[in-house]
Amino acid sequence: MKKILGVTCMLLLLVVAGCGEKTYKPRDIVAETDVCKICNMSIVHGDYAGEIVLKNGDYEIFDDLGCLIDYVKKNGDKEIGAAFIKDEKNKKWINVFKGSYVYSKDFWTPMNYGVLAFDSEKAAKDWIASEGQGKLLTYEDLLDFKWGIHE
Amino acid sequence: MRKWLFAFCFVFLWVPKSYAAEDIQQLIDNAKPGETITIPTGEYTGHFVIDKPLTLKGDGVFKADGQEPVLTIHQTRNVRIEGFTIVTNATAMEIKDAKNVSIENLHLEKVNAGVKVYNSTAIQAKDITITGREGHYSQKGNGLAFFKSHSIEVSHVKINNVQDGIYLEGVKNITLKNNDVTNGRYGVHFMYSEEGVAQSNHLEKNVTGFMVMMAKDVTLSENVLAKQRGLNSYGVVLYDVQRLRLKKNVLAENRTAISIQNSKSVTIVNNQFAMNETAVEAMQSDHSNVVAKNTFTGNILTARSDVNGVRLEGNYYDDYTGLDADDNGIGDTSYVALSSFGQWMVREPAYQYFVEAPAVTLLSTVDQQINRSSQGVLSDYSPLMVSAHMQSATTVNKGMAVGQLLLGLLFVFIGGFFWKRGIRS
Repeated sequence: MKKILGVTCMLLLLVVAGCGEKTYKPRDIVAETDVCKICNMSIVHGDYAGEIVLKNGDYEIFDDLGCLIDYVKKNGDKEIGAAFIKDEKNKKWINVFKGSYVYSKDFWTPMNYGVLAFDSEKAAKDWIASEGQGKLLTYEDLLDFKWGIHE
Repeated sequence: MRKWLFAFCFVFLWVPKSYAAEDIQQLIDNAKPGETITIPTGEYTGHFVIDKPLTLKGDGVFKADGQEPVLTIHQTRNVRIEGFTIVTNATAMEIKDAKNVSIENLHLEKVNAGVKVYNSTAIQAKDITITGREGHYSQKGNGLAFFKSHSIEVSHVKINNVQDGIYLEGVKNITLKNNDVTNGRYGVHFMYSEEGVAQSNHLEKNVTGFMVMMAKDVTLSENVLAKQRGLNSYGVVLYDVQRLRLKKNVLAENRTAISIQNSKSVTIVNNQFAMNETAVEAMQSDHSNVVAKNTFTGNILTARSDVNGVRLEGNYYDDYTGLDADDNGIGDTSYVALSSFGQWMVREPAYQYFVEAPAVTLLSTVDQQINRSSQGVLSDYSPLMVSAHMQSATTVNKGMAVGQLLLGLLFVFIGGFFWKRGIRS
C-alpha cells in the first residue's frame, strides 16, 4: 500500500512538473548553415539575428528583425513559444515582444530595414539621444511598420 | 675578403628596398593634380591617401596591418590606380565620395575585404584578382563592395574565398562582365539596386551564384552558374525583385538552380538547366513571371512551388513522355512538373535528402499520371519535343555531315582512280 502511494505521488509530481510553464531559450547562431527563414540569406551578421522558438521546440532563424516580424505577420503567433532578437547595445538576446525599437533610415541592418532593438525604453531613448536621430517604436508599431528601404 | 664583398653586394644591391609610408605619401602630396606618379618596384608598408586627381602606377607591393584600408581615395575625381599588389588582413582599398576612378591590373592578396566604394560615381574595376584570407566567409568582408553609388563597371575580375564576390547596395547603372567568383557566400549580391547588367560571368562553388534582392530592371545573361551544391545553395535567388530578365545562362549542378520569391515581371528564357537537384523553385510568384523556351535536362526535379505556381511555356523537358502526332514540334499533351514530393520540399527543405529514394521516385511517377489531366500549377501546355539548344547544334552538325560526306566521296574517287591505274599497269 505504501509503495503504491509512493509511486502515485511520484507520478503526480511528474505530471505537475510537466504542466508547468515551458521555458524557451535561444540557441547559438551557426554561421556555416543557418539561413533566414524568410529571405534565405546566410546569417553572417549575428549581432542583428533573430530567432523564434516554436512550441514544438523547432527554431526559426532570421537575419534581420524585419524578416522575423514578416514571419509573425504571415504565420501568426499561436505556435510561437518565444521570439528573440539581439540587443543593439550589449548584443544579448532579448524578448521581441517586450523590446523597444529605434528606427532611422541611416541605421544599417542586414536587410537595410534600419530598425534596432533595445531591452528597455530607456536604453532606446538613450540611443536616440547619443545618435541624434531615430524614432522610438514599440513591438505593436513593428506590426504596422512599412519595412523596406526608405529614401 | 670576398665573403665581405659578396655580403655588401647582397645587402645593398639585391635586397628589395622597403620604403616607408611617408615616402609614398609625400610623393602623392607633392604631385600636381592630374600628374602621373610611377612608383618604383619594391615593397611599401603603410596606409596611403589620395585626395586629388592623380594616376598612380607601378608594380610594387603595398603592405599594411591594422584596420585601416591600405589605400584610400576620397573626395576627389579622375584617379587611376594601376599595376600594384596589395597585401593586408584588413581592407585593401576604400573609395569614398569620388568620381571617375579607375582601378586596374591589381592583385589583392589575403585580404579581409578587397575594395569598398561609397557614394561615388563612374567607378571602373578591371583585370583585378582578389583572394581572401583563410577562414569562413562569415568572418570576412566582400571582394568588391559598392554602396550608394552610380555607374559601376566591373570586368575581368577574379575573386576567390571572400564573403560576397561583388556586393551592390543602393547602386544604379551597373555593368558586370566576364568576372569569375568562387568559394564565397554569394557570387554577386544585388541589394536595393537597379539598372544592372551581368553578362558572361562565371560563378561557381559559392553558397549562391546571383543573390538578387529588392532590385529592379536587371538583366542576367550568358552567365555560367555551376556547382552551388551546399545545403541552402542556389544558382540564382530572386527575392522581391521587379523586372528581371534571365536569358541564355547555363545553370548546372546546383542544389536549386533558380528560386523566385515574391517577385514580379521576371522572364526566364533560353537558359539551359542541367543536372541540378531542383531546376526551378517558385514561392509567392506573381502571374507576370514566366519560364519559357528553356532546356531542362538531367535535373532530379524540374520545378516546385507553393500554390501560386509559376508559368511554364514552351520549354524542353528531357523527361517528357508525350507524343507529337501532328509533328509540329510541340507535345500533344501537357508536361506536368507538379510533384507532391516537390511541394513537400518547399515546406520542409530537409526532405531534399530523400529525393532519390525509391518511394519518392514511385510517388513522382504516379504524380505524373494523376496530374496530367489537372489544370493546375506547374503545367506546360506547349512542351517542346526538341530543345532549341539541340536544334541549333543539329543544324551545325548537318552542315558538317554534308561536308564530311563530300570529302569522303572525293577520297573514294581518288582511291578508285589510282586503283584503276594500278590494274592497267
